[in-house]
Amino acid sequence: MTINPATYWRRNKEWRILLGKKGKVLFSTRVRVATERQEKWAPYCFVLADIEGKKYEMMGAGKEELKEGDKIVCTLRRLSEPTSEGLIEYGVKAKKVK
Amino acid sequence: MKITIWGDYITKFGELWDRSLEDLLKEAMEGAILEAKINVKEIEAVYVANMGAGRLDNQLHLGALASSLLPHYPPAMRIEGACASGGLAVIAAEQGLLSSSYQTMMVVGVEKMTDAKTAEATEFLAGAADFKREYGSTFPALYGILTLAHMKKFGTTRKMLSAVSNKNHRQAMNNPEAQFHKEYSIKEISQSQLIADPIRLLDCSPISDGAAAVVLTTKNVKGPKILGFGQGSDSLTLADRKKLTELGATKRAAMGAYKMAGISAVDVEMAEVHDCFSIGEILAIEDLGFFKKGEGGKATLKGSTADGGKIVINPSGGLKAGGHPVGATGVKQIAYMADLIRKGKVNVGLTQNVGGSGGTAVVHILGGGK
Repeated sequence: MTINPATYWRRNKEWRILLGKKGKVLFSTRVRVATERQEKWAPYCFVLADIEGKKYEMMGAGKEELKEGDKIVCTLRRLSEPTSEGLIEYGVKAKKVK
Repeated sequence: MKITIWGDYITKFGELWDRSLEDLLKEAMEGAILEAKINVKEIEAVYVANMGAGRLDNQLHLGALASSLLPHYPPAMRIEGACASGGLAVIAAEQGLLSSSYQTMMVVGVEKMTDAKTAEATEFLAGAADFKREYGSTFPALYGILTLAHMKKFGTTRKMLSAVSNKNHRQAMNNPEAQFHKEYSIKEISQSQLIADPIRLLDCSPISDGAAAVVLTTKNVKGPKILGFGQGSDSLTLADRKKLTELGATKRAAMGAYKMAGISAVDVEMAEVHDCFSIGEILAIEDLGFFKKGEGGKATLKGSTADGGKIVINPSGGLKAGGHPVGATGVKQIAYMADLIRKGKVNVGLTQNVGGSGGTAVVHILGGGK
């Protein structure tokens, strides 16, 4: 599903607060059949994470495998294929802290 | 005031490439009217349950579309609550009847999904999640997380999950309208392709076309009765749920339905529950009170939910083998249970219809077949 520019701008206000924050994976599933916009990244992880005491759901960065208990950092990554409106969607994904 | 299911009809579910959305609507509506043996003009209003016609078929305004299939153009509207659209439309109709706004109403659920590619259908279904806060999720991914939580807390195993699909495919052999008439062993299910770990292909309900309709009335006529109904809601996101090992919406919906019917879980003989994924059935049979929390998987593996067990769950084959044309499912569950009651195969039956990953749930209790 396409994020239109206005939605994307509003969403960014929340996403930018998360950037750089660290947390822990509570549950992680590996998405092998994705939606059209995310097919390029499959298989990718989708996690429920605890970030500074609050729960968030987000995609994992790249094809990196994330497991329960892994420490993560919220990082800026491409979210989907470019839209027909020319918008290149960037947002928050979870990256493992090594 | 009692509500009777005067007539019901379920089309074939499956990949029906020769049938359009309108064809399916028409067949279900005409079938239910014929079964009720009523003058079509007795239908005072029509509620249409549908999730995706606007997106998948480029057809909105389904109320008017359904109304135009009847000669007297009764008032009609579309009701949407993702996969719970059907259950919600029936509840809305029941409220219309109990408020005496109408005496006889029709609810028809319909979905035409198989013209879409798998990735398009996956994206369409993902629209039932929180688009912004669960971005990148798929339905199997959200239920995958629910499955992992149940496995972690209660030790639910791969074999227990597979036992759900194994039973439902077996039971669908007795339902001529089911999408699949093929049995799978527990081994085959456990080794099928991974979709979103630990959910495998044969844990997932299919993409389906189909429709179902019921005629409901408060007139004093013979037929299965609605004994109780309830609706529950919960947060749209998993992140905001208090627990991931239950669907709170189901528990709240069940509480309302049991209270209205004046019965408890032990009185229910059969149930059609929302097994969109294997874990969905395990959560349902626990949240509805048929089995203790954490015991649903074990009970299924033991055969307690199959024909001859403590309670028969999904005699139609459920969503898994029966098919899941999203907007039609909640209406089909009620139509199927009403038919079993009419045939004297069950006295008290329950249906549970879930929207999304549990943001909405609807429970109905049917009876009065004696």
